[in-house]
Amino acid sequence: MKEITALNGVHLSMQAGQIVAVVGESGCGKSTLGLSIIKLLQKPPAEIESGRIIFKGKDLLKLNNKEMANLRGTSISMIFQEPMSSLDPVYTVGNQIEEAIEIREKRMGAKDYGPFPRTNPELRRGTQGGLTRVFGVQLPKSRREYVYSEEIVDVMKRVQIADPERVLNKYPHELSGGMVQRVMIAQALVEKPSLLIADEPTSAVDVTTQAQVLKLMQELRSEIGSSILLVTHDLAVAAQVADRIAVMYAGELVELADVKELFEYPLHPYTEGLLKSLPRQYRDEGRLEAIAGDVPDLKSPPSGCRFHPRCKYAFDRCNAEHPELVEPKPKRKVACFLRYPN
Amino acid sequence: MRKRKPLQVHAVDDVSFSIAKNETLGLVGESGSGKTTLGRTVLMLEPRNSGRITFEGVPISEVKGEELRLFRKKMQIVFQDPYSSLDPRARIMDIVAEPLRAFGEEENVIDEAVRRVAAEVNLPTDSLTRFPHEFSGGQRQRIAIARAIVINPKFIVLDEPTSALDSSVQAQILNLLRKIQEELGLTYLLITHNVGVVRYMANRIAVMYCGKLVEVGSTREVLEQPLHPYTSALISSIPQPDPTKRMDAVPVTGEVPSTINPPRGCRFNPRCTYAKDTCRTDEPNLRKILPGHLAACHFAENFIHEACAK
Amino acid sequence: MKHVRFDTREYFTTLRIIFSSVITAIGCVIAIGFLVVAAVVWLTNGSILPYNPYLITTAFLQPPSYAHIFGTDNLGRDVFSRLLAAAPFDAEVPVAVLTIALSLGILTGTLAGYVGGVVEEVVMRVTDMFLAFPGLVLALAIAASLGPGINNSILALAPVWWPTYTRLARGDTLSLKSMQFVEASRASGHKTRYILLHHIVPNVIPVLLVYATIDFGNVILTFSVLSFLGVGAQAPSPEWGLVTVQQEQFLLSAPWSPIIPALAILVVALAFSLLGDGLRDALDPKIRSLYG
Repeated sequence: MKEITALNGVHLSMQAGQIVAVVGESGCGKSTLGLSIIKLLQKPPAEIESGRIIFKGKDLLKLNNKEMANLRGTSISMIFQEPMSSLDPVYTVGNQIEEAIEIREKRMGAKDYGPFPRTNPELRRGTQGGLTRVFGVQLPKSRREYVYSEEIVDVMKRVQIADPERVLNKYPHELSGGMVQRVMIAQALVEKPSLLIADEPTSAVDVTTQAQVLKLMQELRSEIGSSILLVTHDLAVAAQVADRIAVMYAGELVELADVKELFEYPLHPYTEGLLKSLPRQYRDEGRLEAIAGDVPDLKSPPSGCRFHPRCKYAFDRCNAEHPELVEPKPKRKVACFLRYPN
Repeated sequence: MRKRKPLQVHAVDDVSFSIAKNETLGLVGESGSGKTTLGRTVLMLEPRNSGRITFEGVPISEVKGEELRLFRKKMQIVFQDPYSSLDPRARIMDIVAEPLRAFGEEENVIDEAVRRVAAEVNLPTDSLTRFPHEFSGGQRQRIAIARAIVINPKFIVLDEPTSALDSSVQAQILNLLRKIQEELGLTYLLITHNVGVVRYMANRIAVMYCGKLVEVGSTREVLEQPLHPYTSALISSIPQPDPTKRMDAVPVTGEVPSTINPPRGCRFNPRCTYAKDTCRTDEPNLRKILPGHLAACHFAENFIHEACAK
Repeated sequence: MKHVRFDTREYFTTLRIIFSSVITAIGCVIAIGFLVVAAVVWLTNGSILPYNPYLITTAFLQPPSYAHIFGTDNLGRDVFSRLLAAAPFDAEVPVAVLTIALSLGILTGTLAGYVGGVVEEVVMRVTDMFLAFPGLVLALAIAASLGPGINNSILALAPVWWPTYTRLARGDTLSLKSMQFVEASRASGHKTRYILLHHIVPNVIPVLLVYATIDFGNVILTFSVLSFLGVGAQAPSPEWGLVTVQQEQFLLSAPWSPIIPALAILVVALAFSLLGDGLRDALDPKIRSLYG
């Protein structure tokens, strides 16, 4: 069985209310990074060998399962790429948002909702059309429609879901992918997390829906002050919303900078290559410059700098030694010998 | 037992267009637009209710059986997913040789042709005896392209050829596709949802929405002077890889409607900021607004602005 | 260049995965050992056995000793020799039955799944008919009407097994049909027969093989039950199920006599089941990729 190092020497820090985008291609470890922070990695086969994850002064790696579970859904939230598999198919949308509120209230020590909290009267204002009469006998309708509390309806309106009362009583499979992704964000809004980890939240939706979802995420930051760790392969998406960008390649952090500076003047050859390979020109306006070669197989990564086989600036040192992160300018980190101070 | 009438989905509804030789027509749309179905119908891989498909002057939609099979020599397809478009149990050389084998070519001819196209798409020579799982997504797509060109077709449908690939590999594949188009004189129907890709690859663009064609024209004109509100909304929704060019407001709200029950009148009207009464009742036809530039909007003329210096 | 499609490195990976877990490794060793023993005994026509399994002697009901590892039965026959002598029969029946089931299953299942329409309906209804009967009851009915004997047992068991494989093959074919490489083949201009033979069948076989391996033990068990009930193998055959019932009366006085063959059934059936488990893991692409 081969072992691979999915993440190697990634140093990242985030401030409150900041949006940091982690950008990279397949196999770079960005999703693993997100899952590690919220400690949702499957322990076998994954193992965290070293490092710390400091959240509000506490090292998350030292917390036990119960303490970590308390943080999830309240202080740290996550939304995933595939909207359809992120919601439980046997509960309606309304149920799931209620659940989010209950978890929040419980964590804040407010009330004890007991083993079957969904009968909580504060979250629902009542049922409508619950029963029908057939030959004078009361029969339950096949589906109970609930009227949810204002808070829930409000948050649905905020994520631009038209007709929230109806949608709240629907099951996930009755909604489109874009809708479900917005429900996920509604859940996040309700949870009011300090940190939201969004793992490729727009890869599975249309571009018009993507624009809406990105806008919503920005509102999340401005209204609640959440920090967002946005994991994406799309540099353009990162350009739209991020304050800072971390570029990853083959499990390592290769560049970290404020968003404007990164796009204006990328320091790492990989970042430069990525930017150049995005098609922006017309057919008659010259060729795209592609990065040669393929993303390396993490089972046998290249020696020295992992990018050197594809790098057009590579020289001898790149093969022999592994570059560490240096800080050539304030608030800019890069792992490349070209940027070493000499 | 009562039999329920099956729901009818008009995935592609009343679409007409033509592609000139050596041209690349980009078919752009989001999910549910019908673009993939259209691409496959053009190759007669999907059945159709009505309409005609003409290839080099021959109405192939009337052709059946063996005669139709022979036309497959001239039309090929490259699929989106490089992971399921190659038989996992077949060797690369057999995968690439498949179209040749379908038409009974001799083994030595096949051998030579396979080597030739493998070199053409930059596959290393020792890869021919290997299996698909040993290759990366980009390499598999090269194999799929090799398979498509081995039989010297004239026309290739590219169904989202780079959507499943990383951006760095995408650029390689796009360059490869352009290279072989020039060298082999191919005509492409490029289906994609990525406007950057279609801008780089296509001479002309056709925009689809909810099963209908809403705008057709040269790439530059459609992207710089869109005449249909959906096209401009689509273009504005594309995030630019430039933090100084951020979107202020969301260009369009709402969801793409399902083709089972499309809105009455113009299908885009529920989401259109310019919608008027006629839009809700009359469905607009695709008509010529400017030379070489068609749009399906009652008020397309209003969107022509003088600020285009050509 | 021939149309060769087997990668020998794949077999090594398969073996490595099977042997990565102790349990499946043991299962694999026992299962293969069983088949090897059966082959050897059959090829040497029993001459390799320490004692003649059919020779009645006076040394009856002897407990296990140096001379007789598992003791002797009520007619003085060496239990160990009879155990091994039965191996060819208990191997032959599952192999024959499963071969028939697999061939029929792949043939009808892939055709039904790929072509669909009337063909599929007919095939599915026929399998439904067979599946409507509980397996053992059907086998018994056929065996009873055909008469006892091993060949008849094979004919009785095959109809019980083939419908499941047809169903499996059809299901697999349906999902393969929507795979793009099948579409690509159609777009390349190939006809249905080619696609079935070259694309569908080679991809369906591995799944069915795994199932058949797990099923191997089930066939042995059912055949043993047939013998147990008198419609399978007949005396003086050393078939394990038959011996178990014949020696049952000595359970308390000479327990080795009935228990050893019963244990053999258990162990071999279990071994194949475990081997099948290992094979299923070995064919899982996610697990395979971990082994390079």
